[in-house]
Amino acid sequence: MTSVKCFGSWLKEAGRGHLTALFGWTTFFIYTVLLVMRLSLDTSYTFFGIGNTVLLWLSMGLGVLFSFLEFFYLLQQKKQDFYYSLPVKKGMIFWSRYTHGVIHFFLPFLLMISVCGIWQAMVDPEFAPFVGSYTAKSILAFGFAFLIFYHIGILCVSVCGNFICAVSLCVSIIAYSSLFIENVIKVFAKHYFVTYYKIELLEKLNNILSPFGLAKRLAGLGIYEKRIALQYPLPAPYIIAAVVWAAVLFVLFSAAQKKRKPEYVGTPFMFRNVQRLTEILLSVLAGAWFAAFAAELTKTDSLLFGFVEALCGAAAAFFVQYLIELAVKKQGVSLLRRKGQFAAVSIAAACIGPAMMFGARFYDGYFPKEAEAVSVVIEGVGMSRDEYEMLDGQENTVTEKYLYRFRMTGEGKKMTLQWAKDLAVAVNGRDAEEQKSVTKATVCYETEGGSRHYRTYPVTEESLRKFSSVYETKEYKTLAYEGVSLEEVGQDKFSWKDGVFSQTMKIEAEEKEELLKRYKEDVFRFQMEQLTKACPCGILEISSPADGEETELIVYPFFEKTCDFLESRGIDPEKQIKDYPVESVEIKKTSAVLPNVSGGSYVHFYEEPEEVDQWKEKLIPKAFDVQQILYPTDHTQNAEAVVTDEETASYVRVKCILK
Amino acid sequence: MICVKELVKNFDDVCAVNNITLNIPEGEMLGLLGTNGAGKTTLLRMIAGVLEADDGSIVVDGANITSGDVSEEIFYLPDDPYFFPNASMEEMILFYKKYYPRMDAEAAAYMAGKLNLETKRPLRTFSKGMKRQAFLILALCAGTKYLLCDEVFDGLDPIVTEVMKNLFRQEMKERKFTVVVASHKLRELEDICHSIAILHKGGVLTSKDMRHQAGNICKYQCVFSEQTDLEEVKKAVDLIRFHADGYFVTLIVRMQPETMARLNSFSPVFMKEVPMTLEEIFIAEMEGKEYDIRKVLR
Repeated sequence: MTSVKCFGSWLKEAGRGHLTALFGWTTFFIYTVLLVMRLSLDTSYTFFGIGNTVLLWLSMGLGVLFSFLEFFYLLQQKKQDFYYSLPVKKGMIFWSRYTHGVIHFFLPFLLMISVCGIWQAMVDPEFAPFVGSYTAKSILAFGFAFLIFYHIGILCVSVCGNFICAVSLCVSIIAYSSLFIENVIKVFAKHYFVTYYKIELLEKLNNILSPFGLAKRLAGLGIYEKRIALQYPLPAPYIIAAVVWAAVLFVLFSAAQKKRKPEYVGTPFMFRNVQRLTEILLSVLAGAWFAAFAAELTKTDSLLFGFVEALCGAAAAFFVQYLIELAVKKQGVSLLRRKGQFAAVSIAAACIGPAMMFGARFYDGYFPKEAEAVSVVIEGVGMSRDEYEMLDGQENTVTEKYLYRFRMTGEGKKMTLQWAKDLAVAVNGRDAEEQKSVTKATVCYETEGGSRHYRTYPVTEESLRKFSSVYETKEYKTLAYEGVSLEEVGQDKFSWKDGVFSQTMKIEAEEKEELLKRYKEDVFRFQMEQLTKACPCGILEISSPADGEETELIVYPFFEKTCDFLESRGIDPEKQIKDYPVESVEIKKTSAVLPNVSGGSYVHFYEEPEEVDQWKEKLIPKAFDVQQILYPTDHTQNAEAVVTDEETASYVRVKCILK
Repeated sequence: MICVKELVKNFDDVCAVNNITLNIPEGEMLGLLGTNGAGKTTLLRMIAGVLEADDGSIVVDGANITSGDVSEEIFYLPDDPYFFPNASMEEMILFYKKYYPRMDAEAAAYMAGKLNLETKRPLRTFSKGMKRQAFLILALCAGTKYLLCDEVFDGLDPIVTEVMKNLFRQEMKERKFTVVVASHKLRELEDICHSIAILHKGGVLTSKDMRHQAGNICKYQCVFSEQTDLEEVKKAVDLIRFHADGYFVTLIVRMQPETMARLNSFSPVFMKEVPMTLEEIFIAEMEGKEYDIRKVLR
């Protein structure tokens, strides 16, 4: 060994291909220019680090690309013979290439982050205090995203003998856990678990076991608010998971590069064990996926169908195992020679569905003895029509928003547990099915230690009535009617909206406090049952000059104290849309049509006074449509009323729904 | 000196090199002969350190090849050598100079000039023959003690082949180094190699062994009279090969004490013992060992 054969010398040799450097530096140079330009125009919604989707894709993409560019020689016998015949250790070649890839990502990346950080600190005073922490966190997040994908690529190239196999393995590693959790476990869970909403453990596993999911969490994907992005705390579990991912992959490819035999270059796999493991994992996934698909199609959880699904899964696993064997088998080797493996993957794929089926009774029968907190949301209670239509019994942003909002730890929690226990008992006895449910309730039990258990229960009319025990607690009402949390509103601006017009209330500070006090009393006094008899008569809007926050206080006709106060200040809370001079009513009805067929929407205009009088009796301003279950309205038709504003002699169009 | 001892290499179920023992003395040019798939390339790749043996050892100048201590003394020239994209001969010389400190860049440039090879031109634009010449120049000028060449003359026209052989001869004259040239054609090797080793069923037989073993085999050229029954002649001796052209007969026989007397009993008009060619020795030795020697003679 001579002195020139030092690591540095090989590092230069690793750069001979130039492609890695070209991609790294060009990509980050162009992106730096673009980011600086965008930051010059907008610093509120432009993130150069955490929260930046493009940067995450670049980090992950360059990770995979660099791994293949740097280590492609491992898949080329000619090039490998050339390198390995030189008086240089194989490890030296490998590690110099590894370092070369890392350098050509991190150097331009750090440069980009630094330039953008300095630039934003110069143009955005709000950002200046975060320049250090935000930049450091961004480096950590995107650095790990790159390393994880870089290591995945290197591992694939190290254990595979040809390009197609390496790419396929890379895709499999990246997508496997997500596919398994989303398309197998969750599908079976939805199919067999009556009370399934979501399983927190699965969500966490998906975020940790999926490289893409983990990278997304690290990089704060989905953050659109600058304040949140700047203060984003890199979650410790994800940092640990990223370190484990990078370290485990590092150990694996280090061992693989030492043990791989150059003579197997060109074959699909360099190691038999890796081939077997890959075959098993892919076959089981494919089989279980197919079984889950069959379960989704049949939509029945009977034992017979469960057996058929298991058979489908076993057959699919067997078939996929056969296909993989066919693709990777060596000449002269007979197919189906690994009978045990074929049997094992088929049984494993077949067992997942039945295991979930038998686990359903434990899942559905769950009810916590104690809970630190409970969140509850009944679909349609306190929701606008738009929100209600977004619900489909599955995990969704509306339910999540309400679960977050209705988290109770006191009296509300106690009453919810009592109420939910009846639902859980009913589900296990299948009472709800017999009695026909009117809606669904999603409950989140937060047990000691912070783990959350979500369950969805069907709600019958009787159990909906019984929900009043929860609804009428002070804790629930405080969360449902955010106005009751307001304090010191003397300086705030009060407006009254009756669904047609809005008017600013000219009242003194004491009067404002008095009005709010009365509103609170009304809220805490009314019973849930009253919501079934009337829709809101108006909205009291309170705007705070301190923070610009606007709070809407829904007022019902049975809020006597509030209504009396409003009346005493010249506002008629009983005034409805029908009391205004309605010029015309437009009724729009939409029905489903076949694809590529025009039509389906019918609009009728009613302008005759008799017709208008008839229709306006049924109109409710859309803003007041807040109780889909307790005060149902007709949503098969949308309405729009044209109301004359007598003060300005103009027309106002008011979106309505029908009673 | 390269000492290959009981070397074994399997590719799954295929035994590429089976228990080969071979000594390659210093300063010798050894031709490694064998049909396609005989294990020549595998043996060279193992000596070069590219592949690891399943069993046995390769010791070069007293050091095991796996230690990497002698890899600086070995230059491996595969049948289709790799070069960097767009690299010229000059760039490859500079590259090799880093790893082979005795690389003689001037000599390489001189030799390239003699063969009309442009050192600044990208190697990818060279013809197959030109590439072979260029890499042979690089290999010869690397200054290594051992040079391993795989199918270096394969597919070249006779003129280029001769030019390359001359390059070898010239370099062998100037310095003492050891060359192993693998080929599947005996004729490419016999006029340049000091000795030939033939890979047979994964094992190896060298020409020296064969000449030694062929010590009791003689070749006679005879002219018999018209009355002589040539069938009787064939029966009279332990015949290996027989060729008759009219009355002119060439015999290769395994000598026994009474062989000469038996041949003389047919009163040949003319009879003379002539030296055997390497090809004839191979034929004589290998035909009895289930090896179709004609495959390497074409």
